[in-house]
Amino acid sequence: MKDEFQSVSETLNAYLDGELDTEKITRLESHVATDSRLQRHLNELEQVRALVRAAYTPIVETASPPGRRISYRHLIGYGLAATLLVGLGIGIERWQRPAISDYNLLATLPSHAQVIQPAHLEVAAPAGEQRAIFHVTSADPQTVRSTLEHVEQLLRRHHSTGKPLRVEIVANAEGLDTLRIDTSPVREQIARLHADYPNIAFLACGTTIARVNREQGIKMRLLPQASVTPSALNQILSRLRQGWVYIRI
Amino acid sequence: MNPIERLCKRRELGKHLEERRGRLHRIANSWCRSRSLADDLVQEAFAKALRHFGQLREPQAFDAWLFHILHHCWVDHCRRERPSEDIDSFSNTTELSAEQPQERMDIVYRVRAAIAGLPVGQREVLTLVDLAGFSYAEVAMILEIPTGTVTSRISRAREALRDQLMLLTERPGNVVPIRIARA
Repeated sequence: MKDEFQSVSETLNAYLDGELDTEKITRLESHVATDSRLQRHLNELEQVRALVRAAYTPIVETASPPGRRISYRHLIGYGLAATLLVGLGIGIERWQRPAISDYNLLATLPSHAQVIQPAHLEVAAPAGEQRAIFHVTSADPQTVRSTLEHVEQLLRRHHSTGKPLRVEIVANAEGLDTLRIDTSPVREQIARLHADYPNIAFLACGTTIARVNREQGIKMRLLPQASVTPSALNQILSRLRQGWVYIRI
Repeated sequence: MNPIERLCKRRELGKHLEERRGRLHRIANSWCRSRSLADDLVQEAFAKALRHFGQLREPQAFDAWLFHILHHCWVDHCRRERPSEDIDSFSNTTELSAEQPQERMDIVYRVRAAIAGLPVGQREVLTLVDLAGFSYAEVAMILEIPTGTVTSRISRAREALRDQLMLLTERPGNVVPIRIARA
């Protein structure tokens, strides 16, 4: 006989896959709303589904501007991307701090910065291009400023040497404050960077936005320079798979 | 059908097949985990589809029919390789997980390895739903199993993956610090 866990799990999975009828959906949603364990279970199954899809999503390098919405819909939860990446043991290659003369995007990072360089590159970067995705998860103004200062330094260096570079700044969880009109401590810098450099994109996590809107009953207003990506985590995963370097300061 | 009509239909079919090559290959690859074998399976499925396209009664079920053929090719391959084993119960994970040191595994690799560790029956259902986007009813048709079996296999598959992938994020002992850049 089917045990209770199996039967609950089947219902949750069928719900995720759009296989339940309206009546069952209503019933399940009212259960989920009042039962935090069920909520968590559903959330984890969603994450599993998103991971399965992400693990087999073919990589298409396009010339589209960074910051465009990625085409597939993901439902990954809103846990901190880094935690998940670390927890899953994402490939982290050993790297030596390069000599300053051999300038690259890691050379001037502060000593506490966290860096992931994908170990298994499926796509090689276009000749000589350096690509970095900066992850902002903290609302601390000093951290945010330090991240932007580093990005600006990087952009300026590359601009003066003519070496190609692409940068994305993706914000989720508390870091989303950085891209909100009413809370950003770095509005002017973002406006300036955006105006001065075509190779930088600011991305806000759609999953965090939806959660904050729901929890606070507001409609979040973002800086005009920010675009929305459905999920910061998926953006990071997909960039890592394309060989971008992940940096969190 | 006169020969000209047949020829036109064949050419049209060839076009439809080409459009679906990537999707078929992705699924075949997730089943057998070998690009070259996946190439062979897709090629074999195309040849069969061309041979038997007269049997397709409902054009709207073309995708399900095609994946059904692909699945047959895969089952035939498994029977040739492991004639005595039940395809629904065996899983063949070892070559994926044992060789590589932990720190070299990236996230994609880990997820793929976890999927590879599922019993074949669960893996097929999971990939057809999550990667090919089929409904439970379509998967039931493709694999020739009851819809209830699809429902229970997908749930068992996702729970198994949840155990392996999600718990890692919660147990502090399993969390490896990201390599920290030092001056």
